[in-house]
Amino acid sequence: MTRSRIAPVVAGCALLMSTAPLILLFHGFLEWFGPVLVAVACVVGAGHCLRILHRGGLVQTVGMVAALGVAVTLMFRSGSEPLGFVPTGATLTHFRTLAGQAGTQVAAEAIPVHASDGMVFVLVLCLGILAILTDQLVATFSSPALVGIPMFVLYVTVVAISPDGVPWVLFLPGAVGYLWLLLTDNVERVRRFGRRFSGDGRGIEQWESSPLATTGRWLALIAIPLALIVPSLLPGMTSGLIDHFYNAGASPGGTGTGPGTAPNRVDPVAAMQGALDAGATTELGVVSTDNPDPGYMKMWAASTLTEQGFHAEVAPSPEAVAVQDGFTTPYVSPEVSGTEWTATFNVVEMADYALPLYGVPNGVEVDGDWLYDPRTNTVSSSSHSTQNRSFTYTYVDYDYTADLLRTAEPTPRGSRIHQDNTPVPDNPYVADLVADLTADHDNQYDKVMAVHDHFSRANGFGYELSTETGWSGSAIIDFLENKEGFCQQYAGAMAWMVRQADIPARVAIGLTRGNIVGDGYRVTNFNFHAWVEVYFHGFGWVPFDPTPSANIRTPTDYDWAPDPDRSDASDPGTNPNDPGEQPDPQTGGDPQDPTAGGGPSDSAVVLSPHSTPANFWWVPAVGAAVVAAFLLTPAAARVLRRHRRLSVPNSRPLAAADAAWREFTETTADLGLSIDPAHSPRTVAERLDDLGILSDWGLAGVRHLAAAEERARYAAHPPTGMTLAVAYRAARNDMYRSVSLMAQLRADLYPPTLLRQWRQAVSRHLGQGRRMVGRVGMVFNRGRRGRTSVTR
Amino acid sequence: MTAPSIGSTTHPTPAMDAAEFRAAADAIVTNIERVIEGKTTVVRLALSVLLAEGHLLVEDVPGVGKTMLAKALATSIDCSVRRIQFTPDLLPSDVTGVSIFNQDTHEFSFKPGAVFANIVVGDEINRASPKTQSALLECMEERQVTVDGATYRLQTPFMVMATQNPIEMEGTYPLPEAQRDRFTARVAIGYPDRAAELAMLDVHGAADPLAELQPVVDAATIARMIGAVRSIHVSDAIKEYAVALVTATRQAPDLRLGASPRAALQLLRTARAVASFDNRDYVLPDDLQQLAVPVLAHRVIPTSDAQLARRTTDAIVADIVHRLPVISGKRR
Repeated sequence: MTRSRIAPVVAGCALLMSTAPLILLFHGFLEWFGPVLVAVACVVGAGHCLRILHRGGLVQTVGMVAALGVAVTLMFRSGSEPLGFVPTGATLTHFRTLAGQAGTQVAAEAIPVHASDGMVFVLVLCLGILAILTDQLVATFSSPALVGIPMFVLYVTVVAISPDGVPWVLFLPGAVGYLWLLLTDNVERVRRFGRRFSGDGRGIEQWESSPLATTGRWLALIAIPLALIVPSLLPGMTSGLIDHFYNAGASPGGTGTGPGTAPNRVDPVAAMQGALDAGATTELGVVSTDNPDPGYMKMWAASTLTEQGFHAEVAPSPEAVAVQDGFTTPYVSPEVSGTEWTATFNVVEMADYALPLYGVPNGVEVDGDWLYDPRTNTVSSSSHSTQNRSFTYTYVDYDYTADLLRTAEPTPRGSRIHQDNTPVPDNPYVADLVADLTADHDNQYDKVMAVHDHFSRANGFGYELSTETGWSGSAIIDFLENKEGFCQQYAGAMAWMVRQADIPARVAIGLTRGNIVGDGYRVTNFNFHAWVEVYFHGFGWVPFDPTPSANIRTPTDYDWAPDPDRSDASDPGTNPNDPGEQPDPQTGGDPQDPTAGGGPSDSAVVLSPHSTPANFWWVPAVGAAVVAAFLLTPAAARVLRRHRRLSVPNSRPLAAADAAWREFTETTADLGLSIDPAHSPRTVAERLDDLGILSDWGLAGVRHLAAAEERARYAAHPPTGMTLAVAYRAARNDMYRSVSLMAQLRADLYPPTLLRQWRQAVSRHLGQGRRMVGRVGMVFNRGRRGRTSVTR
Repeated sequence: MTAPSIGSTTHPTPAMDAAEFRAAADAIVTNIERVIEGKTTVVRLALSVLLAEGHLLVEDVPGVGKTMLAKALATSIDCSVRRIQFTPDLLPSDVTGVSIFNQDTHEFSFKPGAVFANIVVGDEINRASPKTQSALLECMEERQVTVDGATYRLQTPFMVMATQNPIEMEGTYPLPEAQRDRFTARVAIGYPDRAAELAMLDVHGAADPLAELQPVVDAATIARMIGAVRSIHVSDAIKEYAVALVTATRQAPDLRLGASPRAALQLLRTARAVASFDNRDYVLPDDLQQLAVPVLAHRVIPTSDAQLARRTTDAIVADIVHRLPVISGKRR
């Protein structure tokens, strides 16, 4: 009996081994693995002890949840807990804060993240819940094979969010753990019947592979190569993100020659995505400028384009210089009128490694080690963030006109700008589309505008924060076909298409103008935006915004690139007389969309006005819901089955009586009142009467059910006048009253009859599968023997 | 106080009026109980065997009323009754009849034996020689007698009620298996309880109550009752259960010989009669369970191990009944 209790412990170890891929998500190891180890050990230990004490499945579950609660409270205590581990209201508030921190961190930091308290808390909670789940699967449901599901979920989660993929080596610990669990369980099962022997009677050692497992070995031999080969043959499922920027500076193959590639560099796209997805509004800062009509504030530029999308160069180029050393502004034709303005940005709550700057900056006053990159016209730092910082800068805002831009010569092919900003992956679909769009145009500006205007509502394009994933194998085709996306996808697609027309283009990431407040503009996380910069020779980088302006908070409509969806060319949204916090009439988009700015002010989109940190309570909540759904599945299945059986109409008397009687006998068995299979319905009713646990009403119910079933089974004519549901309820209520609360709970939550039927069904199907594979193996062996004899 | 009832189920009545059937059956049972007190189950079983057109073997120690039961049942029915006292010198022709040469007509004429009656009471059947016992074989199964090449039909209803004493085995000839198998059921009357025995002393002390017993039904009524019993419905599930029961006796490790197919047939026939007594027009597994020991136990032969362990065939068959799940029929 002792042996039968080892498998759940092994399952806990296997779960811990399957956390190996998490190494990729966190800095450090012991910082997160230590608490996870403690939590899983507590859960598994509690389950093990309760099994030694012969406690039932329900008690084990409750015990393990309690153990997890104590462990989490001990490790993440707020300081107000009695005895250090008894959770109070303050503990829950503390947990909530920790989860909020984790949410903010997920939204802002690129992978790998720091193992902060919040992140570790969420991780410990999730793995603790998984540990309870695996323990239940092994101990209560005797189905250790199903432990593979949570282990696989863990692995797939890491694969899904890890930008550089997961090395196969990290798959091994989990796989080994899983095999260990299956082996332990199988050996335990076989050893219950005594010592193992081979076919010729030789004893087999505990860890020796069994000759009976030939089927399994064949299965592995066939299934594993299939699993490896088949996916490589199928067309890949695209991420659906043309905007798949990643942190080139931090990646091993990136341009990490700049001054420092800090490991925790913020991923601009992750930061933007997180900010847009956040449920609550965070005020980033207030910017004031003497320019009455400022444009967007650029922070990053993404120039490198691969099949997966544009990559943002976080690390500055080798040409970057310290801001104190002065700026080398690009040449712009004197025909373009440019005005120099000054702006001051007062940060409220923003920890970024780039400065949001209007137009073309030509001087910044900021404390710290900041670099100006003339290639991207951005200012960034590897060691300082914008947190608690204010900076003042001067910039030039050029007033391009369509006529002037039409005069631009093509960018010389050999120039660095052309070389850096025109390469595109080979994509015939995009090439054909761009060729169609630009066929009638002979100058660069009109070609760019043809592409720009393609993203119009008239062409079916719309704004959708959650985009569809396609199967075309190319993210840009998915977007151009589905015609739904948000700013990153619009910007990425337009930049790609402009490049396809051999015109240098890149994606800019930054902030839109923000709402007017006092003499400045207040920018929030919802002002994050991505747009396109196109290089016109002699004019520099000219901004274009292909995203439908109705869906952008405080958009800027450039005179040289008006929004194709606007009938009126005037732009009240950029009117300097825009009254204070009043809604921007041009931004009245979809009221369902929190980023659409359709509300009267930012406060209108605040989902939870009292919580400044993003609320990520849903992570443990979803985990708990999954576990609860799993634990409640037998109960739900039982209720559904009961309802189905009692709903058989009296017009089918035989089926109705039979179903009601089966329901009654299963209920009786679930409550622990055994029914002798050698007894007829009539005798069952008599025995229940003898037990004296039923009232007259309940007994009448049992007798009615028995009489109906008796006639259905044995009489020549079917029963009539049945009131089976009433009779069943009368009998059931009486029987429930006669047993203990635990027995009632067990019958409701873990009905033994149902679980037994499930187990039998699983083993039956497994047996069929084994037999099938065995037959295949036999046929193969026969073929092999045949060949051998021919050779002889 | 009347117990509450949730709904009611209805079913049509059998061919013979149920009330009439019940009245006749009750009359016979009451009549017999005037001479045999406290043995309602045995009496009902004896009547069931009669209505199932079978034969009854009453096996018990001397003095418990075996012959009394047989005679009382025979007397209660207004039909021909013959009694044969089996002795070692009894000849087969005494049972079946004999052809005698009539000197006047110069022809052989058939003198019917004791078996030519509606109810034949064979007392101490195991005292007769096997040859004489075998004379009953054809009568019991085929309900006819063949003497000197001529076949004579027996009367209807026809029932053999034989008694035997299992204790005194000296000078007896145990019934051969073929003979035992022809008896539908074997019953043991058993000692009466204290109250019944006291009552018996009162009733039987002064006069012979058997002499005062009057017939309560006639042969025609019995024939109609037999017809009613034949119309009782036996579902497929019950047939399967009966087959499962006899199969189980053939596979039981304690039994050297299991029950025959005839046993299954007679089990169902008797179960029909029992169902009729219960005012039902269909047979229940409970009927078969109740009849399994009387109908099956005398036909099976235990292994020597079981005999050494003093396991009787009654216990073995009862054990099989307790272990065998009832069959609920096809899932609908």
